[in-house]
Amino acid sequence: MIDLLPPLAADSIGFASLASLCILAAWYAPAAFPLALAATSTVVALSWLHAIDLAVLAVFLVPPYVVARWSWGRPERADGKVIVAAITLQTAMFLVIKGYPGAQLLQPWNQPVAVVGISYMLFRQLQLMIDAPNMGEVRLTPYRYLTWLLAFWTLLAGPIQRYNAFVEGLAGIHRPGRDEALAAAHRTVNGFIKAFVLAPVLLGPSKISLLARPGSDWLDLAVVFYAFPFYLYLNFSGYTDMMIGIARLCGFTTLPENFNAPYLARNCQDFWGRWHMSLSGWIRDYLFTPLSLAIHRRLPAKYHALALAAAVLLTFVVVGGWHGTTGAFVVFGLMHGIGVLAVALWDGLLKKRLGRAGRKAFVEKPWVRVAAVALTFHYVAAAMMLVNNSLAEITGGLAALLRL
Amino acid sequence: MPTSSSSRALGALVVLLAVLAGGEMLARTALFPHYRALSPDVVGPNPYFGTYTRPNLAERRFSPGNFDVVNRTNSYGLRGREQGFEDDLNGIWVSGESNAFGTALDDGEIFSARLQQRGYRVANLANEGGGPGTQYPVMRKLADMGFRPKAVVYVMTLNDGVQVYGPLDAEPVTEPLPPAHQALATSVRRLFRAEMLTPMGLKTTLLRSSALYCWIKLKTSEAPLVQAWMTRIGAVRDIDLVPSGNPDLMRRDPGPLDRLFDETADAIAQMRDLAEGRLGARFMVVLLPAHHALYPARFEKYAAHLGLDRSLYDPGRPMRRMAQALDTRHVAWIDSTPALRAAHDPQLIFPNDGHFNAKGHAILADLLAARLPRPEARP
Repeated sequence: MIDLLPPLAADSIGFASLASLCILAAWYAPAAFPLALAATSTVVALSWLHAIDLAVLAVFLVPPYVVARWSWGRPERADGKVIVAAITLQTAMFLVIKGYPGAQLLQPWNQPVAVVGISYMLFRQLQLMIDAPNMGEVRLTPYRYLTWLLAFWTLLAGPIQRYNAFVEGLAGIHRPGRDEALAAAHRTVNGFIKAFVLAPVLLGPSKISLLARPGSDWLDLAVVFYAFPFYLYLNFSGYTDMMIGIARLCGFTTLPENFNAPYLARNCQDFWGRWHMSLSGWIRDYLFTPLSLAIHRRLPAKYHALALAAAVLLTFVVVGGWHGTTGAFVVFGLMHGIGVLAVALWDGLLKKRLGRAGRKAFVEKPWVRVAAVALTFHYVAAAMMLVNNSLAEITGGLAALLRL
Repeated sequence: MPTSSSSRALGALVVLLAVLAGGEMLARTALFPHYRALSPDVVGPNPYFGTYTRPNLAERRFSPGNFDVVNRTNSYGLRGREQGFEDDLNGIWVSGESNAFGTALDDGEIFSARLQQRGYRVANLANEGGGPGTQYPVMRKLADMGFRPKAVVYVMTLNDGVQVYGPLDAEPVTEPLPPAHQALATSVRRLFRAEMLTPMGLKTTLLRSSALYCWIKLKTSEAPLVQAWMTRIGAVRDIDLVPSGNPDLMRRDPGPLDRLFDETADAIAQMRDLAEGRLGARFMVVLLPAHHALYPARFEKYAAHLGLDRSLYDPGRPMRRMAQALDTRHVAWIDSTPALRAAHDPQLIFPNDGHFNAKGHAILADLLAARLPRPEARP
């Protein structure tokens, strides 16, 4: 089976066909929908996995289920060492499988392993283990667990849906009404156009190595600089629109939103409230909030500001590291962390100088809003260059442009 | 339940997609599991040779009526065993293009594998679409890695291999990148050309993404009436009507094209210099005839089909001319035509594919075994 199917990407006929089967199941046999979703998701997942990937995935899937099952609906087990150990183990497995520097030395296999969607899976599994003691109101079965993790609409690139929202969505499967169905179909088609028609136009011109060509000028730098952020947004948000649209055509309405006009953000903190929202929500709930609570509980007040700044940086290092295994992604995360801290400092300064009311009046001024949006976009776009190019490519491209 | 026309249209669209879904999955899993083999992607990053045949392949190759095989490569991206391949790299190197690579053959059927079965240590360096341009850098890289072959056999198929080759040891010339703004303009223009919506674009998209389409196309073309019609309009390839390489090379007087034989021989002589000069290995060229040269009756059919003036053509000339060019450069060569003809087998190549089949490779293995030094006894 694995070798028979080419990878079913979201723009393939196979993917569209399977999605339509799910929609029909939801419309005409809602009781059979979970089975249809499980079957189609399995086919999509298998199409992306070689035998060794499947074996690794099988091992990766087991511990979180066992631990969640053990603590399911038992609040007294919430602070147990078992959960902490399981989270550590799962994260370590993730680092080894993805081949992070250092961790790759522990890989027991001698051929490339690529488990599709494993980064998204990890965060969902951690959420399940952390929340399990307080989640007795919904059922956890191996079947549901696997369907949730492998659901074809969140497998490849999110959004990161939490288990209870998934179960709630399954319970609400229905044939959508006319307006709802048309809106969902419209969103699916729009998403396809964004991700697979418009976005590719910008990918080619977004490589900074193009600046190495003799004769490149500032216009070329502008093209390279602006092309990638818009490519990434169109590709990622278009893909998310497609998946949310397909899910809604199935009457599954609980897939979380991922984007809200991110390039209109007024600062880095605002940006992460609008960009990849399911990730930033997860990071906030399961990393930053516990960290800041621990800081407030365990450290004297005089250290809070410093410790919180460190927590912000650590959080964004995790965000960067989650996106990729190279140092460039850590720098990407650090840039965002520094951006968030700079905003906090600037905000504090404004409050000190202008007072609360004065600060509010200042930031509401149209020119300030425009300047803030422009500054944030350019800062974010500069950070994104690290995602699309290696450090050597960036320095090489810029050196060539500046004739250094 | 919604009943408006828009809702019904949406429902009908989903039903249509779902019907296609059933068919698509049925085609992929039961009706046409060879689907993936229609456009295999064997070229990619190679850890040793840059962009070359990908390592660790197990790629099914399927051509209806011709072959249904698996092409495997080892971690070098070469067709050969994994364990002990380093030993083979100190034995005999077989170099060449798709016929030497064994495109249409299972691993054990290639002549290099048959020699291995007879006790020779053989490393097959060939790649699809290869020639001196790709084989010379591979040989040089392996030499840099310290491997020292005892003999190098370059297998060349006429008339395909007769081409323009530059100096093989020159640094590769990379295509200059376009300026970024030009790359953007090109991308935007391509978008508005809407290539996918043209008949050929749509056909390519369907070929690459729908097993159902491919299966229907295959089954339709297998019906005798349809087959005859498609052959008549030229939609189905009759290999007899397809020349190997530039057909003008078969002219008695190919005019300016004639210099290509010398240029090809120059390139092969550079390979010889590398093999004999730097590596101290014996070098030899095996010339494989084009199907029109191997089977003269097929050339008659080709000439009649195109209405060629038969007196202007000589399908055997490229072999003689190539041999003469190699002689001039003191490159040892073998013409495999007599051995192949001696088999009196009308089907040493595939019916609708110009590659040599397993029977052809068996003859080539015999031919080479008779020319190579006896294999050393293995411990």
